Amino acid sequence: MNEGSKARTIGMVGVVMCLVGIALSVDMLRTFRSRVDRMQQKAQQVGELHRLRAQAAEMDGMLRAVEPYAGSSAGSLETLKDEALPGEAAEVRERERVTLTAGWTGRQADVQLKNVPIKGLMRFIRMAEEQRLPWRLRSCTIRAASDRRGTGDATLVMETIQRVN
Amino acid sequence: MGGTVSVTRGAASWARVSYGVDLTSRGVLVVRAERRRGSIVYTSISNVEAPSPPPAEGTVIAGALTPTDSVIHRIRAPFAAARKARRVFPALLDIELPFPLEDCVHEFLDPRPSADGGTETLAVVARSDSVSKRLAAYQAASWDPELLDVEGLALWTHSLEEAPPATNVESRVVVYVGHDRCVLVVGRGRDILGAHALRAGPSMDMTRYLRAYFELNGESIRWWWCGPGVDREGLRDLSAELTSTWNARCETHNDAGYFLPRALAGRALSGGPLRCNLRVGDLTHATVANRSRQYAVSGAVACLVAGLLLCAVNIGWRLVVSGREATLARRFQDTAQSLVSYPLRARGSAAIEQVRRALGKRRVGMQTIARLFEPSLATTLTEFAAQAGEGKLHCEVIALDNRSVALTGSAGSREACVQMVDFFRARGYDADLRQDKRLGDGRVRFVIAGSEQAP
Repeated sequence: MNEGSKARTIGMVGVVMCLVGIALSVDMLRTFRSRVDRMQQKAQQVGELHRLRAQAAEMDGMLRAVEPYAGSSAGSLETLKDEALPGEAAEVRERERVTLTAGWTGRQADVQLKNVPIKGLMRFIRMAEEQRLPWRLRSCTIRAASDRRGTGDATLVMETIQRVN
Repeated sequence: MGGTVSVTRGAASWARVSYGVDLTSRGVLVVRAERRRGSIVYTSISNVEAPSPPPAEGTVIAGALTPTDSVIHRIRAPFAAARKARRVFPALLDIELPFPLEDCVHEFLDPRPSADGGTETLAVVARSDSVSKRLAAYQAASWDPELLDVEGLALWTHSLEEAPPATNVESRVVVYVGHDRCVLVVGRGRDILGAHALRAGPSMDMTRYLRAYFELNGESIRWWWCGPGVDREGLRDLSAELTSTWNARCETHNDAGYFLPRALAGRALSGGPLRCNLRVGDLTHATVANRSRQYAVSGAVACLVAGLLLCAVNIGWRLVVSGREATLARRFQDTAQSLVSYPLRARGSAAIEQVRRALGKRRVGMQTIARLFEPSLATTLTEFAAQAGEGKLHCEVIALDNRSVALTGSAGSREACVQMVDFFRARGYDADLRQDKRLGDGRVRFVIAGSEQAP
């Protein structure tokens, strides 16, 4: 192959490559916007998943925080009542347990106190919350007695959790 | 025969040094030109008996065909499109030549639109035999020019370069006076109109050529003398006669003896209009032919490299984008899968919806545990009791949970009721004072109610 035909062959291959390159470029420019849009949409979806993962991580954090108390359970509300309000009438009725997650169950109890000193009532609630695991006050209705100042009736809903193995 | 490639068109862009050679009956006149920092430096070389300019890399030798050997002729094609016109120029030239075009070498220079809407060009043509003879003459003088220019064009363009016209319509005549020959070049502004060999030498007879180009009615014409014979006897008288009878302005170019070789050397190094090389086809100099081939190969390789680069850039871009898309898709799927406890088959927004549902379900199960981490209701109740004591509030009923509050009782003043509303608002309840009624004993009976504030 002489130099002339070599140059022609190289040139022709070059022209073909250029044409292929131009065709690829045109195709790239044609699809550029849609591909960028698609990637942006995917990135947004990944961002949304990260937000959901943060929520899941928060829940995992809560479970990790209560995990050390897996072997513990809140003390008896009757006993606490006897300590905080000795001699006062009370009715403690625990509701059916609810399955939560990761082996934990939820416990709720209705506590009815009649004509008890408000200070003693507050002591009872505080003592319940100091338990490990604590009884937390979920709701309360306190009605002051009209005849005896500083006393009243109380209806409390207390709740706690307990790990069931 | 007239096939040309860019390297053969006048200026040798690859050369740094050129030699312009003028063959005269009394020896060879040579000018060496060198490109230096954007300008060209000329050196006249005298007494060159057996010149041996080394045909080194970057050196080019330029000779020229005389008007006896060549023809300059302006032709017009009736097409406005230059490409179309260029196709018919050879046929038009062939008609006007007294010999077959196949026996000639030719070039068409400076094609441009003509006044009649067609395209005109300056045809430069020489018989191949004349070119061979001229080359033989150079070789006999130990010179082998790579470029074979045309004297008429060289004299004209270099005269314009050394003495630019004052106006675009200035009429100019350049006369090369040799020892045994004379060349007359006629033009207006920057356009060359014709070039003629004067057998009789410079005389008033020259003016008969001008009648073909100018209307000689007192129009001022600039005459430029050059050539090794400008000092010959009688030329001064001729100038005086031309000046008096023809309203002519006669001037002589600097270093006039070396004007032609200077023009050839300069044109060989610099680009510009009307550059040409009639040493083409079978007569092409081996160096130029090699260089043409090299240019062709270099051009082809450059084209190939450009094509490969273009393809590589595109393929690279596609790989990068595909890689990025794959990474995003993988990250999406991995993240989504880590948030559900079963194999996730859904993709895209459907997968997000499934993850959202799974998390919602889990959140329901977590509510009781999550409440352990919220502020204690007992704390709110304790603080309320303290606040109520300060405001002398008598609370009859309080119903409180994390989402709502309802409170009835009496207070010493309305301000105490408002303070209590603020107390609950500060803790996230959208509390209102629903009723305040002053009682007989001056106290204010109130009802405060509210629910959780919207986030």
